[in-house]
Amino acid sequence: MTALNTLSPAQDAALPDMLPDMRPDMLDEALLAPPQAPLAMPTQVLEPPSGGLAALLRGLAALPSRRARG
Amino acid sequence: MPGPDLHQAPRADRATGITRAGAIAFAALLGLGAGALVLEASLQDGAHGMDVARALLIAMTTSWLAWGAVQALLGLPPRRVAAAGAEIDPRAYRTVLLAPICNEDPRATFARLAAMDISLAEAGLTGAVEIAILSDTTDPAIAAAERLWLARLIRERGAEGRIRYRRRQDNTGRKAGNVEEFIRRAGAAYDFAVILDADSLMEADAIAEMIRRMAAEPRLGLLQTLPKVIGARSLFGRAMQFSAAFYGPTFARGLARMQGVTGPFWGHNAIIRVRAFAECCGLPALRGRPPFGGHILSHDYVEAALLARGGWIVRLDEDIAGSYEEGPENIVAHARRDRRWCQGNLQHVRLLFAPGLRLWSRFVFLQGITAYGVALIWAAFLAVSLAAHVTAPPPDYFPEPYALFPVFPDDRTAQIIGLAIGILGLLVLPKLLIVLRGIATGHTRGFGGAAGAVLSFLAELLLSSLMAPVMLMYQSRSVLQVLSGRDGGWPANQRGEGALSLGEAWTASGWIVTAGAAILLAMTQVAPELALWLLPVCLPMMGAPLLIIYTSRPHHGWLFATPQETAPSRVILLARGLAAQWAELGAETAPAGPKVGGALHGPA
Repeated sequence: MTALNTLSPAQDAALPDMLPDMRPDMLDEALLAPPQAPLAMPTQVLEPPSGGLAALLRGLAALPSRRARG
Repeated sequence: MPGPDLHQAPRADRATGITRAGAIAFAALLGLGAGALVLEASLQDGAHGMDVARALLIAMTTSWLAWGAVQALLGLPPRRVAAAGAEIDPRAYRTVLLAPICNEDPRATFARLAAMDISLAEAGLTGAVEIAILSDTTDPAIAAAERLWLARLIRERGAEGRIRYRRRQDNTGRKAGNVEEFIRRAGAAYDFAVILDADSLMEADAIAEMIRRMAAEPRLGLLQTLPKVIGARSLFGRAMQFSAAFYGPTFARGLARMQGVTGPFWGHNAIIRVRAFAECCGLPALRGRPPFGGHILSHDYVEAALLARGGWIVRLDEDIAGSYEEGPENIVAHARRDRRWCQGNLQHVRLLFAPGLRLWSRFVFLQGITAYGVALIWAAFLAVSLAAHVTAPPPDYFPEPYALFPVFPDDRTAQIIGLAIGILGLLVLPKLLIVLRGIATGHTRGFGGAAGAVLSFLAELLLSSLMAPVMLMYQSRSVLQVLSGRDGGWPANQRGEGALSLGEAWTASGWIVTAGAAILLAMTQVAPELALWLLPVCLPMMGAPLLIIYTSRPHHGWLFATPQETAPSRVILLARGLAAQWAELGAETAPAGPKVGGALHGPA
């Protein structure tokens, strides 16, 4: 639990006991959750469908064998 | 909210175009000049392949240094930023602060959020600006602690329904995926979202000004602020903090002037127009496996490019005050973060030819890749220069048969020393000019006055010179690791990590010591006359553990002072006070009641 680096490991382990007035069940889940207000977020195209440069290189690399097959 | 018409998508204006062309020409010409000088000097003893390689490498490295220098030079004159009208009421817009966290210390992070909530309340923005904590925490113990500290945060701030929290069970896409999931689920509820990092801190006035500027320019998709580094405690951290505070605004102004409407996104301390972001920034996973495939690591650069592709303005407004972040506290933490950034930037090689991107966005990707590639170019230049010297044939004083008189090669020592001074000048001159301007305008007041700023400038110069070879080694290793297909992952930041022991420093840098000693030993055998010239590179490498330890130690005092240290703003004081009080609470072993109260309680 290194991220809690200002507390000792023993204190980390005892954290729930140290905050007796705070319990997770005190949280109102309905109020806690983000509102239900969906927004479409289409996935963008960042690579050409053909694979771009990689496909070109693959194609060039395949040329000799295609020629050999005649 | 209508999106901008793609046919009328904002393009760089004439001034921005001229600035870009001028900056590129400046860097290219200086690089060509340096390369030509080295080539001409090398040809005195005949043409060799290594001479050409050396000239090409020095041309590339000099261009890169000139590129950095020109950004500072462009930032020296003041810049007029289109401020928003005061008549715009930020409460008229629904805004959410997004705080993505992943295995962070919830006490420190939530104390910062509580401070921002108080600041917002004092500015009358309660209700208009919500806070959403987006947890990607995977460690169950930290997740449990998050819930406890969240309960305290919400109860103390009376923030039910105003501070939100959700934890993802699977953290697909890391931070970008975290924000994306929130937007898909709740994005329609908000006009704007301020994206934070776990260590971000922002004044309510800064948030209000960002909202106003977004409202004033409907084509603005993203507005990036320049966060000042705060909270540094070590020598390394304070030197970086000084550098960011003193030089950062000038470099950022130059960058803003050059980027224009195709500005940068640094992943946090920025505001987005939620619908624009949703429309343009759904990131795909790249084909193949990491490090070049998979999820996009440095997503912020890509999101800025995608917003620009969609016709939205992306702008850097470095003049907005009250935006803060924290930085690494030692060289090892810095190198660890740099490893992630290296992999993220090199991954952009896959996106250089992404369809529809602005030419400038592609150039920015290339620049980010070069920022790491240049470490290898420097290393190659050193290696080739040494090899060229060692393998150079002895001078031929009688190139013509039966000549009566010897022909002495022209001495080019003066030109080469001039070149070295010029290269050093590219590194030092921009900073020196910023210091001189600071003295002339009184800007040094918060930096320990004119004398304090000058001494901090000199100390930073010395420190960065000592650290440069060590950083070069870390960066070179990072690049080689990525190129060889090693995925460094995206480990959580170890914030607040401070002084290192000798064992930790040796573990992190023993290989640099070995490399430095091996290079020096080899040169004393092969070309002892060059060994002396290599000392500025090899000695810091051999002393890397000591340098790491020394600079990681706590540091105080007037050297490297910044205005944020000497006169911290309200939100910094609030965050500091809350963190201290909550630390006291958490450190008690006996059951404890609430300790926060009094002056730190702002209006709800």
